Amino acid sequence: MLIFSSSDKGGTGRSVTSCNLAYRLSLLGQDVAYLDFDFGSPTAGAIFEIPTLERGTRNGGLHSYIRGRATEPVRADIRTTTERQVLKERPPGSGKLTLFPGDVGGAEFSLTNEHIKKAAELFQTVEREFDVCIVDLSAGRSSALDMSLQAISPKNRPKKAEAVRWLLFHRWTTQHVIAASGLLLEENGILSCALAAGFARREFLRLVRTIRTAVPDASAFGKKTTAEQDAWLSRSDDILKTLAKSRGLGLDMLAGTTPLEPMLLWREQVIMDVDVKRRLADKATTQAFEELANKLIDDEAWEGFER
Amino acid sequence: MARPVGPSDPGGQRPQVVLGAVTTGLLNTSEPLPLEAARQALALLPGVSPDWHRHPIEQVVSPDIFFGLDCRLAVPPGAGSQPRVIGTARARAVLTAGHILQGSARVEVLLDANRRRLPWAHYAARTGVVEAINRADPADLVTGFLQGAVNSTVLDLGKTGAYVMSLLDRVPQIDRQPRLKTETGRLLWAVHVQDGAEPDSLVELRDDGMLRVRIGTPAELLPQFVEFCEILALHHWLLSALRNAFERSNRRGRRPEGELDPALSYLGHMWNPEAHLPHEMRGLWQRLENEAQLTWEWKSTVTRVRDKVSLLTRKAIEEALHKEVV
Repeated sequence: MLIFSSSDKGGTGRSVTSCNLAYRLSLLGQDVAYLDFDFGSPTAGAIFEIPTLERGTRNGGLHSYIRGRATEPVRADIRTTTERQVLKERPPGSGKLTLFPGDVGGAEFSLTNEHIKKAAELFQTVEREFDVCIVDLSAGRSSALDMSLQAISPKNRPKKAEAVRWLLFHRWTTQHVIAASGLLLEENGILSCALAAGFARREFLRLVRTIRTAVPDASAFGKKTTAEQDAWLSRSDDILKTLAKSRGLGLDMLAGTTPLEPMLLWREQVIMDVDVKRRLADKATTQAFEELANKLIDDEAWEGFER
Repeated sequence: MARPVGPSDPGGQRPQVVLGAVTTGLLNTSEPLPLEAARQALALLPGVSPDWHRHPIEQVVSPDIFFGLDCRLAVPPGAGSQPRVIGTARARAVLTAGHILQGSARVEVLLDANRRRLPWAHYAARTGVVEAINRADPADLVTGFLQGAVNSTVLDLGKTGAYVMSLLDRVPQIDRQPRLKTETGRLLWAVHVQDGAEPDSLVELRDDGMLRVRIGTPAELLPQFVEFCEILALHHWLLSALRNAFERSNRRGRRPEGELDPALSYLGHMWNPEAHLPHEMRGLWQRLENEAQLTWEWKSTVTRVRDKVSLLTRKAIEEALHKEVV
């Protein structure tokens, strides 16, 4: 299965949530590959705390591979290369967790058919070994996004191939909802690229789900909230819900919500159950990641509504 | 019988070092290719038909194809600069039982060659040979190559092998729906050519899962040794793939039969290391068997898989009976 992670703005928590989902999926027994397609600033190495890959690799990462400068992309077993001791331990019944890093100093490129062919081949190779491949795209429109849509379009991907999911991450604020909706549905957005790549509108939108990230609750105001604060929050939430619905990002599109996690405000990292046990992280966070991970591999959850 | 492997150096110079790699994986298809289809698929050069055997296990070997090279060879740290080599690598694809695909690549390294780069026609006439334009110690080249490529400027024949395998993905008979998740197997080998010596090999498996074979052998036995490495790579991959399927069948939230069924039907009948093993290499294989007991491990893993399938079947029958009673 291929899962693409996209977002309109930077700082939505797309990468950190994707890394956490990759980790959770591996705990669920899936063999997981994480493909860092954020060519301008690869970050997965830092999130998984792999010191040699903090800013990508110098030895032929995904960017070099796509551009034909490496015959095979570099890969790293996250559990054996991470610096984080507890992440090194592979629990029984869990699956592999492998990172395909980007390149140090990778950048945008102008897309050619050769790149699209390379990407399709890459997906094919990775899917032969792994149950789930998470492809983390950079924020906004990029060549990598265009290339991915072309590689998975019905023109290039056989109908019977494994499932594809497209995730759109946005924070739960007015600006982020408007921006995310714009990225998906407006002119030159993801949908119009998908149509240009050969998808039918309904067929593509069936693959798409949103993830609302870092959604705060009343506790963000502090330990004690006033009645006015509670009322304001509830009203604002309602306004956002209406906005999201009117912009095509309503509940029918929602895969899930992740709560505001203080740990992630300081450091983008994998939140493990042991962080909850040590009372550093919120249980709600790991629960949200686990629920999302379960949903990603549940075909029924993806059938959804006809739009 | 060793397969013919084409002409070597017409100048009559003998290589001092030969380096090679074999990558092994499942053909990207739900069912094995029938022999006829396999012969068509492996005709990688127009007009040259592949070699093939029907018994005791179907095998098709593509004609040799060549890749131009101008790169450096790895040497161990502290052994001075990496020599630059120019020439061509020889590669072929091998398909066993219509389902297990291998990409096998190698270069013969001439050390006492020209000290500057010559026109390409010179190298094009010496297929499968690279010439070093700097001085180098053969032993360093063997050690350096077996370390594995540390960066993209040094020769990495494993990637050439993977590329040859990927050529088969473009064949129309490939439906891209294998029912088994498998990892690509990697083997690197290096020969220090020693005339008159008895072949003597050292096989090593390191943490990175890559097999490494080092051997001293006379030049005449090279083709047989290449086959030995291909057979070793195939069987090591079989073992890894079966173990991987068994391990995956124990994962959380998974139907074990979804892994075990394709593992048995794809791989169960494949073990036969001596099927195409050249006569001269039997001693090497026997020694490997004595030390690593590969065949024993295969048998016990197959038994384990079959036992698990039997137990699952019994459970399923009991559940069905129970339902009827209720």
